[in-house]
Amino acid sequence: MGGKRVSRLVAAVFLGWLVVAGPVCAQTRRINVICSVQIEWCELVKKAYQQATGVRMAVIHRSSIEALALLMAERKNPRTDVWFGGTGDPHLQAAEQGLTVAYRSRQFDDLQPWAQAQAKRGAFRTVGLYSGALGIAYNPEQIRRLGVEAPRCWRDLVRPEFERQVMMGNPTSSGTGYLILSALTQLFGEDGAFAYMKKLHRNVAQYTHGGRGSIENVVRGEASVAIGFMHDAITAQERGAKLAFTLPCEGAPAEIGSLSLVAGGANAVEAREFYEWALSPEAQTLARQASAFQWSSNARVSGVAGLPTADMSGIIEYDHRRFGSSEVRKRLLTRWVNEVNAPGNE
Amino acid sequence: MSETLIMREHLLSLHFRLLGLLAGWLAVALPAHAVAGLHQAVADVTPEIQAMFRALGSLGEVALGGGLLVAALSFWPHWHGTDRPAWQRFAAVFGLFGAAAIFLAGIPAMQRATDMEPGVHGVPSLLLLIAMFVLFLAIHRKEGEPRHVDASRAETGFALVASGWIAFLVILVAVPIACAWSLVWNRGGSGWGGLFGGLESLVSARYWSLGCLAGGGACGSAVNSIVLGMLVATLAGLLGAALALFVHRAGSAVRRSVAVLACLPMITPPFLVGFGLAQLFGKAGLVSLMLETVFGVTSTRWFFGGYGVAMAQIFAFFPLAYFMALHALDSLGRAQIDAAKYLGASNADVLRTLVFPVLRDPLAVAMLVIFVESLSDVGNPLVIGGKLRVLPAELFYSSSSELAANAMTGVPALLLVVIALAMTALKDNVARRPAISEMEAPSGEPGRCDLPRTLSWLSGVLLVATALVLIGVYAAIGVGAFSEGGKVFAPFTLDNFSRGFGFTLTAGGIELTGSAWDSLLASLWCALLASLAGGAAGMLMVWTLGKVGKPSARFVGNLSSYFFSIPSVVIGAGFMLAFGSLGFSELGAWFMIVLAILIRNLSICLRFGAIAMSRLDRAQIEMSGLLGASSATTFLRVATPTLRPVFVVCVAYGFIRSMTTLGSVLLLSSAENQVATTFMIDRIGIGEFGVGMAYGVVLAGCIAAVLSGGWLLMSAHRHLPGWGQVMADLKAAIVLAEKNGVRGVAR
Repeated sequence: MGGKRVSRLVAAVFLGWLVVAGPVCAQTRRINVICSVQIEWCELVKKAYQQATGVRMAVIHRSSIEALALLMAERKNPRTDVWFGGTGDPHLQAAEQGLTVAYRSRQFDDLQPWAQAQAKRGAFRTVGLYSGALGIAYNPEQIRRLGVEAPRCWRDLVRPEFERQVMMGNPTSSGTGYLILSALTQLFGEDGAFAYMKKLHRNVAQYTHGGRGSIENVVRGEASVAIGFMHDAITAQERGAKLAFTLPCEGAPAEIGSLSLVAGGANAVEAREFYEWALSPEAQTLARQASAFQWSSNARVSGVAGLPTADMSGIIEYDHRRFGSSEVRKRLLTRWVNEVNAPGNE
Repeated sequence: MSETLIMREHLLSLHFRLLGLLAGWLAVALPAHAVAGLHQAVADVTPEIQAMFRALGSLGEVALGGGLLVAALSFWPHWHGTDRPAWQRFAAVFGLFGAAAIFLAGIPAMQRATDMEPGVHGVPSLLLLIAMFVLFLAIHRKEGEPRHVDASRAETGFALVASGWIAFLVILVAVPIACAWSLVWNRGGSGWGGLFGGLESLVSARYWSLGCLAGGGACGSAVNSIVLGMLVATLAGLLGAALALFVHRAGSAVRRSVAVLACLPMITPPFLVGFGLAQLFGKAGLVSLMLETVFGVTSTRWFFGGYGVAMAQIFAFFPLAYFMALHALDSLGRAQIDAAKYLGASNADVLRTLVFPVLRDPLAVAMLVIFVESLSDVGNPLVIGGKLRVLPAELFYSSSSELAANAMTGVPALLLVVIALAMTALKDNVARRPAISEMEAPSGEPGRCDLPRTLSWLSGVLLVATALVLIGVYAAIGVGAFSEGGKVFAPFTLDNFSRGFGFTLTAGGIELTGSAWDSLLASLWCALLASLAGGAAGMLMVWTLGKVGKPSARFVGNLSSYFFSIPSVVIGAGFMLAFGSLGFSELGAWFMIVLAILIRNLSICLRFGAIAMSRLDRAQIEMSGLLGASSATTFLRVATPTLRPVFVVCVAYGFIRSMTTLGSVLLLSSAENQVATTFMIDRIGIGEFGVGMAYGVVLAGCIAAVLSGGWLLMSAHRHLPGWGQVMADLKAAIVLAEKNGVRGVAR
């Protein structure tokens, strides 16, 4: 009898905890953030900001394009206050559609010129948060086993030796994927880029759902080459992964990760406080703890040993305005879906 | 009646049902296009959404008109001999659908309208109310009986509940699908241009190309989905049957351990099985590495793509076939086998003439269920799909990008719906055939049929191989959860758990610092709510259907079964299309998620409700009333003890399904509403393999904890059950839930 009663009590307590645990978390000051950078960074931002201010922060992790789709879907009744990080074009697009509000930071003058340029392009509805270059990451060991030369240029990736060895983000779901598509368009012209992508498609093993997934898969050895961001590759290197990174010889575009305030969010005051915090040198230094090795937008953040300097020799100036517009985006994506990732092209 | 005759009749009715689906579709589609041409005046913020709502509006008008026409036809004097009330119910549902579509199409106008324009709000709402009233009347009326003015109040209540139920289904399932439907046709063009464009995109090579068979290119996504589904259904069915044949004769120890193994894929999301398999068979997987070092076989990337997805789905879904086959074998009478043996039949003869006929129908049902599961599985193609294009993944990719309000979302959704509906018609047909095992008198002793030696060996080997793979999969996930980066040979760490489920003890209590807590708690809440509500709704509906008269009950049951066969990923996408533009508050968004999960579970709840009701003893209930008990007392003292075990099993099974569903919630989750599965696939998608694995472990633990907690509170035993007991219950639940489909309700 006793045993029965005890076990019932235990069960009741457990279910009771379930019932209580949900509502108890509710606090007064709160903020909802969509985070489009690496998950560690998102988690660190959440932890540090909650500890520093006591504001309860709900973070959802979404690739930048998914984030934009979410903001568009929530246009009538936004549930998000701030959009933290992610490639610059979707931010510009959100600005163009009035999904975000104009705000000039108190620290605006401390920011790097490229970050200020991003804000001016978006009529101050967005601002540069970090920057990183796009390039080719590969696993040297796998390349050696394949018995081929390491890729140096974009054109190397379409060599037949790399059949089913390349990974990149899916342009329809990942900002990195779209950046690759548009950067190639800028480099080779639209038709040239699509001719290239069609050839590349044969060598692609998988279009990953998020851009960073492709680099992680190369680290694990599931593929040999990934097209992705330098800072993601450095993050993996820091963890001890055997990974090499190269900026393609034809030129590599740089993304400008951005920060925007969502229009009509419920917690506008908290959102602005968070915005200022995110641009501060302290917050930007914090990123490195999460092994996020992007170039920081606040010029007062000192360079760290081991962090590559912003060597701009191989970097092309990416045409944000052109590729950020809905019309171009839609055309490129539709073309990609219908011409590249299509049954006829395999 | 001979069996061939019965078969022919079933085939005929199947043809009629499929043709009916097609005819209904065309009947709305063609006129809707004519009307859509008239809706060209408005052009606003986003032209696609605007076009969608315009098309939806014209769809609604046509459907409403069609409903009125059918209703008028049923009053036509020449139709005297035919089944008039059936036509009236049909007309009422049509009308309700039309009114709901018009109402939804009117919402953008309502949001713009001021309070001074009553027509904008009033007319659609009034239409909706009228349609519901007509439906109520159609259900309320019993066949063969004149309508009494003084119909008892209780029956009115039941008819009201039944019509409310149909309205609920029409608004929440049919209208979202109509939204996807209208996306296919109206891409801002004129009515007829949109029609031809739509037809073109429905049959485009993107979906139907046969390049992989003919050479020169890959196959279209619909072809891939269908081939994958057929492959998975066949192989999983065969695997399940082979294991069941082996286990059926084996001792209880084997039976119990196989049951445990077979239950594991059921309490984890299917994509976790695929992910675990990738740890073994991927290019850098354990098995591949072993083969490479021992035998020098160069590891390739064969796993990421069709093969891997097929393999993952086979291992994730075969338990259903296994349990159904085992149940059928266990119901085989011993007397028959003994008699056959006595008459000189060999083992092979017994197998061919006795065992296979018994296995045939349950296996066919299981295979069709597995086909639909494979068709709507979006997780595996996302995680291990390589470049494989299947319909659910196309639907996901196109709805999560800007192509969302476009034919690219509409076509995969529509194709998924059509294929799933056809499969359901087929499954209903199989399930309605009288089961052979039911025709013979049940004997107390279960029969044991020996297998021919080769088959026995084969199934034994299959069993060992399956067990090894499943153990490998879960071991890889379990070990990976405690290793750095989720790699099996990486050093031990608790980092994965602390990142996801870390907490700190502060003066104020426990502070949950892990990032996964929100989604886990949310998932528990949603699953509890959805499974409890589903269980209650199932019982209530079956009780109601028992009171509204047989034809109406059959009508409601059939309609529900078709609604519930819609793949869950389409429900999620449809919700987003139909209700996303309304802009929901946070609570509203949670409500949508719970609803989507609930709709996925309702078919099973209905089935359980039917079982529960069949167990109630009418005489006892009447006696209780005669002895002066109030109906509440009767319910509490007489009905509840009988219903409770079935209710508990129903809620438990619903809970498991809710916790592991991905398709229905993937497109609905947002900033404050992530659930466990969306969080997991997010982590895996960006290469956070370790955290994903840790989450898998925690999720399984949570399901087990909640189930045993619920068990302690609710079951008659009031003690923690052994594994055998739990497995037996789960097996019973699965067999009961899937055996006859929802159609059993109406009988």
